[in-house]
Amino acid sequence: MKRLLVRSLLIAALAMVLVGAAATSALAVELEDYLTEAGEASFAGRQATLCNYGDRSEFSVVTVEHAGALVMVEDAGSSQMVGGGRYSVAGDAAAGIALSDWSSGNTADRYVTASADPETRLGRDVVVVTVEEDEAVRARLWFDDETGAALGSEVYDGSGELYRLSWMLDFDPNPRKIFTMMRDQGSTYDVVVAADAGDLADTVAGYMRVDSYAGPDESVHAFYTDGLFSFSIFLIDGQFEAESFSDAGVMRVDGAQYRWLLTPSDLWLHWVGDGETYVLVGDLPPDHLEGVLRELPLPSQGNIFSRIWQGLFG
Amino acid sequence: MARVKASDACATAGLVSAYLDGQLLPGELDVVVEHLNGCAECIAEFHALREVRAAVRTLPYLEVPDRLLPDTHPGEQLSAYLDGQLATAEHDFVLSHIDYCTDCRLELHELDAARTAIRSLPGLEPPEFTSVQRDRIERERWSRRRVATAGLGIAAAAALFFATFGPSSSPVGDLDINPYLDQHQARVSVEPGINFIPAIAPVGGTP
Repeated sequence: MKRLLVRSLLIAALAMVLVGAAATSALAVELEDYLTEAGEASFAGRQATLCNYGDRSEFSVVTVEHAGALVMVEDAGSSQMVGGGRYSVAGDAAAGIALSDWSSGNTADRYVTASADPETRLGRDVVVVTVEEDEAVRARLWFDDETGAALGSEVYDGSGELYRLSWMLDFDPNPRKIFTMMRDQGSTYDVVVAADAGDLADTVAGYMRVDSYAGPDESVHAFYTDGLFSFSIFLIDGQFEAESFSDAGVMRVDGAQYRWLLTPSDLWLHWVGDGETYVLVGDLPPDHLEGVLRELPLPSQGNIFSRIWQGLFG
Repeated sequence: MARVKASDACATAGLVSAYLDGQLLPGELDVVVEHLNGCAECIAEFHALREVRAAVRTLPYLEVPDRLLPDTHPGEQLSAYLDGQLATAEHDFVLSHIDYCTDCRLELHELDAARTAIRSLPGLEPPEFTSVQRDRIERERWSRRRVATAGLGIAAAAALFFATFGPSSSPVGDLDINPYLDQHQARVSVEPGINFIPAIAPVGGTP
């Protein structure tokens, strides 16, 4: 009788573990499904985006129209078309660019879909998906039930501070302008071909290098992703300044200095190390970025005087 | 078409070889073609020559032995050979060469004899200096040492100055980051992550 009781308890415990594991796995798959569906949704509206880093915040409102994998963005009087590995500007005589090919990566194991709950936003039924990393909230994503579109998103840094958010201010499930733009779109593209990544690592801080291309200014462009966030590194032979970074802030990671720029969507970094210039751009949260920088080639340290000066006065 | 008799053909037969080499002068080609139409002897020669050339082309490439080449004497290597300064391959080449080359063997013997003669010369003692000469030389040596020390000091100070105050990394160009943004956007557009936020160009970076 006692042996029967022990066996029953063991079976019950095993069943609970299996059910729990299956639920977690289903949620993880659910996140990829939600993201894929959002990437292919069709809708139109105004999108507000805010990004915070250090003592700076950048905010923008742009009009977007999604039609499948194509996205039209209207900002400050210019329209851009992005999607399917292509980028072009409407009315620009210059050719757009088109990637010759690309690979796909999987969502990293470090992300867990903690919950998927129903809500109402903009008068529409949505599901809010909470993504956790190391038992801390990393992101919250709002997906429209009807179209699958992402109505909003919040991304948090490692300390739980809000790093970036985006919200649709209005929502129309029927895009219109993008089809006109697609019709008027030029058919000439400069093709970006795959290239060897050189010494750039295969994996940095959990991000996998999935592609590398020939970049502008004879640079090497390596693209890294963990399935949720992504960034590009451009490696240029020689030492180059960029005017856009002339008023940039200075970020320090383990004593190494990087110049950074914030946009409503991304963080940009620029540094020179060992006779080569690095430009990094991506949407990864700041704590991930610091981990990435620790595993990439370091910036040059400068001369004795500048190091003393920086040590004394920052 | 006028046929050329066989007895007359031999006058142009030499041109057949040039024809095969593609070296005929303007006007000669017509002569040869016309001649080949009527001269059985030259037609046969033409075919034979062509076969020989084809056979030659298919011959394997052969390395000509050094000893059969006229200008491959070791020359200056002989002296190095006597000094034991040759690499293994060069040493073996010299050794095998003097085995059959009488001229080089003779030259090697002469070189060896000359070295022996030089080594057997009596040693010369330097002349004794007077105390005045010795003092003067000592003063000049001290003066040169001071100049050298001062030069070294100035060089070290200059190096320290540039290491301290000089530019550590001089940029050599200016980047327009917009093409980088375009390419990044194109790649992100096929990424299934949080790619529904359009990339915005940095302020001041837009053309």
